[in-house]
Amino acid sequence: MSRPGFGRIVTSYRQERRLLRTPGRIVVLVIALAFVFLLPMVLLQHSLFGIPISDSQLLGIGLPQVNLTLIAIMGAISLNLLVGYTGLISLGHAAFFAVGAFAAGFLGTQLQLPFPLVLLGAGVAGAIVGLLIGLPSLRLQGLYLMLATLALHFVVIFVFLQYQIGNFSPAGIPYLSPEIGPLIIDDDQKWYVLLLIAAVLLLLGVRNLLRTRQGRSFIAVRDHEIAAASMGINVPRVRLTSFALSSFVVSVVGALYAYYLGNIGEGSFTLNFVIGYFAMIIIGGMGSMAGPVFGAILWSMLPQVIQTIAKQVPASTPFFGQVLNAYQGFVVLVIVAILLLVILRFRPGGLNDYWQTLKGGVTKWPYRNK
Amino acid sequence: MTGSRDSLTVQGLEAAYRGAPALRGISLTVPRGAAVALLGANGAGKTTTIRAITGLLPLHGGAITAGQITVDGEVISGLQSHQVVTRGVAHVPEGRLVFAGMSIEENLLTGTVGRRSPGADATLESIYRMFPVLEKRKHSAGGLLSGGEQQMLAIGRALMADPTLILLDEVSLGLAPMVTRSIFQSLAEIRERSGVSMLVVEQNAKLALDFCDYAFIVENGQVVHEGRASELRDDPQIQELYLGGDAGESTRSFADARRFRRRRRWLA
Repeated sequence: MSRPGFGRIVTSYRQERRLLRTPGRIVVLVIALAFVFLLPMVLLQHSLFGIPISDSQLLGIGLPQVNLTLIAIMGAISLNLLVGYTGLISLGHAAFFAVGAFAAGFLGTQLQLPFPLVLLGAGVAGAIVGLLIGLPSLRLQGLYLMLATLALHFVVIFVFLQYQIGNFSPAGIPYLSPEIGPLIIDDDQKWYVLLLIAAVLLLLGVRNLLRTRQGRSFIAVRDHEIAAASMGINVPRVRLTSFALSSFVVSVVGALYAYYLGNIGEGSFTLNFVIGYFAMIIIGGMGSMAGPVFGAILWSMLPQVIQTIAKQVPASTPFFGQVLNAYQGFVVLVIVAILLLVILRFRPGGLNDYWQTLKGGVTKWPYRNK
Repeated sequence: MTGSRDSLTVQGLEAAYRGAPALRGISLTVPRGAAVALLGANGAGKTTTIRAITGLLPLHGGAITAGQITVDGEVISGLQSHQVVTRGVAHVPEGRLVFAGMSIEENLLTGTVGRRSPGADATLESIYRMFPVLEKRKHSAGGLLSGGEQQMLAIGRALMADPTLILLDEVSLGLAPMVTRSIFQSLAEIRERSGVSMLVVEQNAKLALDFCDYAFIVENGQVVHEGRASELRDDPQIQELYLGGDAGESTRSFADARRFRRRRRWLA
């Protein structure tokens, strides 16, 4: 402790294992909590501490966008567990969402089971399908595994469509508002609380998992299969566990997604949907904790934000004014694409890399980071 | 810990890679607490023997076709690698194979996957005492370490499983002679303290013979010679073949290199 005040000097294991290790973390936590509590109020009342805020000042973001982003965050975290941490590439992400929606339709809409039980059932169904699709991963890797999971995607979507048309309508499966005990979750504000709690629990759960033996086994298998095997890791079992765990979570998220939308058809579960999730974890930073969160926020919010900004540009603006107004959707896509290329070109580690640099700069001040 | 007084026995082991035979009946023994060297030229079958023991052969496209391997009297041939590790066999693989993306501490903790006894924290501390550089940099990524440090990490990772037998595959590979010497000193310390048995596969025969009690020499997938390390060191034929002629000298000169070329011709 010869240089108090500079950097972070750890003197005991207890200190190191603490959840909130530095004053900086407490500040971040307080800011995050304030943000989380104020967000729905600001978005619903369009004012903060009496100061009115217009829709365009909020960049066109409303509570529904926030809720969908929370769902995307959970989906991205679970995909990252499989792809980023275990190194298995699966195109079955939309299929597992569909399995969750299917299970929710059967257990919730048809059998009218209580909501928590429906979620559990969706998770178990997802885990079973995940185990099945995990089997090829014992023999196949990389592109070949991707093709095998692509086959799963089409099978699941086909079954989903048959179920949907056979029991409901071509428009999709309807879902009731979920009830947890006496509480009926029927508006965006209640959904916000539910989804926020779920997302935080999932984030903490995955974070903790990765600090256990099982979690390290995932990373070991990703980094070096043979080294992992020679350490005593049962590689096939780790692969299956990762598939089952990831698809359990994805299917629960899929059920939540279906309930939130209130009506969902097979048309929602496309390969574009899968690619979107891959984009989220790649932009955010694969194999990192914060990456999928950043990626999901960017991917879900950015189109809306750009569209809102584009609307405010008058058509008379030289050069791009007319283009912006005439081809709004198209422009949004182009801007998102360019932004992605820029991020990937300058920070292959994704948004998480920026975050780490910022964090390092703060904690190591006045020394330079790196 | 019961039954046999041998830590490892290999009897008539034959193995092949997709039909191409690599081992043609290897038999060797590692008595409990002993260090045994497995010497031979490239392609002789040393690494294949290690792979057969650890159960990693199928991952490399090979298979055991005949023979038996026992550890502490229990047959382990045919078991999968994770089952072998829980029988107390730890492996320091050729090329170290450190998990590059994990921190040093996480690398070490990964070694506990195959551990069946309590006291992992104490082992971790003893590894940090032996290799202070690992503790100093425990939060940096394993891939950022130098070759020698990675080798220390690989050895430490193997020790985390609390093994009764350690298989060391080419520890000196790509390391400076000074680093190699200090690593072998640490290995000698480990042996003295924990009484763990070691099977050492080495290209550097002199180093291995100085460290081990006994040695087997492999050629073409067969054991062609064996004996006490001290006797082998003095055996003129072995000296000519593997030791560069002057076993007493620790430094090598250009003259040694010329002799090395002659040996290569002799082998071919």
